[in-house]
Amino acid sequence: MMMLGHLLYLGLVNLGRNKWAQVFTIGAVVFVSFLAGLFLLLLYNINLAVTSTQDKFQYQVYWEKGLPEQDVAGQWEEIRSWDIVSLKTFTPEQALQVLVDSMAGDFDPGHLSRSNPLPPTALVEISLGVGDPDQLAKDTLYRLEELPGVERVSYNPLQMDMARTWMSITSRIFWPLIGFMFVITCLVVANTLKLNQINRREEVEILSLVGASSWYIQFPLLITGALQGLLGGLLSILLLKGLQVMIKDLLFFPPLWIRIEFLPPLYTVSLLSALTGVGILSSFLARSKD
Amino acid sequence: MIRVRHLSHSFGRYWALKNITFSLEKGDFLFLTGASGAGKTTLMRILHGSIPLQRGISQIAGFDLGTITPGKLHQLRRQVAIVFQDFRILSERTVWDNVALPLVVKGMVKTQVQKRVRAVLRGLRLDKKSWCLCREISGGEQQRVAVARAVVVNPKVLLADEPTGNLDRNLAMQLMDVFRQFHVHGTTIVFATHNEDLIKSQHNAKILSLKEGAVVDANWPLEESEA
Repeated sequence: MMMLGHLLYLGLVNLGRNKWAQVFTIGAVVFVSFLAGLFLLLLYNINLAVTSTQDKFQYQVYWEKGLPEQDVAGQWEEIRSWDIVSLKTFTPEQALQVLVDSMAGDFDPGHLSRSNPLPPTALVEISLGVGDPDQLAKDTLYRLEELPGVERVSYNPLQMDMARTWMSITSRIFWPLIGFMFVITCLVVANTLKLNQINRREEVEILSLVGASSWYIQFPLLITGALQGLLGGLLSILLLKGLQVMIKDLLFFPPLWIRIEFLPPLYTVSLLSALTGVGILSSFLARSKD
Repeated sequence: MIRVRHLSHSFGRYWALKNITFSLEKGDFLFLTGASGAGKTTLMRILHGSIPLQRGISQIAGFDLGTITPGKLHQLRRQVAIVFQDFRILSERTVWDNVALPLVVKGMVKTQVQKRVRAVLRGLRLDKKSWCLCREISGGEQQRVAVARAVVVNPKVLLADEPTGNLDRNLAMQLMDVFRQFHVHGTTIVFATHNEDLIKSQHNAKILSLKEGAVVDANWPLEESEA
């Protein structure tokens, strides 16, 4: 246990040796991962902007005319509890008012308001961004049609096709681009860290000469590599956050209204984990070349 | 302590060592002589486990170099220390750190390390330089640091590959005295050199001469020791 603590300490101490080499190495890791993060931020926001407008699907639900308002209101509450994006409800009176508002100013709804022919309706919007969009759309349609008193559910099949197409495009471009960027970042960071470790070849050789076990030599190097990756990743994420704060409202004007969001925690944790992992792996590879 | 039988080694098509056979007992002092390229360094490196054994049998300090695994090499190197002509010390670390290194990697407790290092540095007249960085001390002192690092573990065998090659005559003789001190305590020493003065200065030493990778002369009966 004491030896393990000593080896961890050595891994930390290694960061303090050859200070300039360490500064340049971590600097290189920071800038490469910053560029990767920037690319990820761009893709994430493009995807967010596209999917927030294009992956939505709407149902117009019509209840039977004359159904007690309390029953309909209860069903609206139930629909709100589903995994939906939004629900707009219209009592017959509200629907009539919308109709009146959409007509010319001199339209008199007199006789319509006395005998309103409109049923209670609702506009249900769901997101097709999660899971199988076709299945989700079918399931929601089925659930809506099964509600007691629902007379008809209508939707626009063209909207479904549009949403499906957008989903397909983003999944075909977004993930491969992220994967490609991930591979490039890993290669550059790994090579940088590996070169840094190879600079310590002489020390490793001497440790080996004086009877240090492979574990004794390898472990601090792995710790150093992990710390270099982690530190580089943390600094790059801080830089990225600073940039995002500076430019978040850059595109927040009509007609775009796009607010640049920061990467979600899953993305930042993945980036940090990947860089730490690459640090460990490259240190291992650098040592195995000795 | 050392048993070498029919040892041959090639680098590609070039035979660096050809059918070498000799044995050394505990406390022997062997001078390995021969011109540059005779195979001295290759033999040293094989005995230290730095080059894998290709042909023949080689046993040292109880380790069979033909069967030793990479994972066990560090155990061999804690018994068999080596000193090189080019020192191979950590120039950016202090004299103390360099000498303490073999004890630290063994996991020895701090008080023991301090005791051993202090004694060895005093013995090699390096105690006043303990906290100097190795790059700041002279070549002779650096070589003594390398020797101190090798002997601090009380090795069973001490291999020295032309350790005086970079030193002037006086420093070489001083260093030889250091080796003599450790030899008196029973350490088996293999000393590669082509310095005739050093060889003459050590009485009762065995001498093995190599030429083009083969043994050309020895001052003790090799076949007898093989038996």
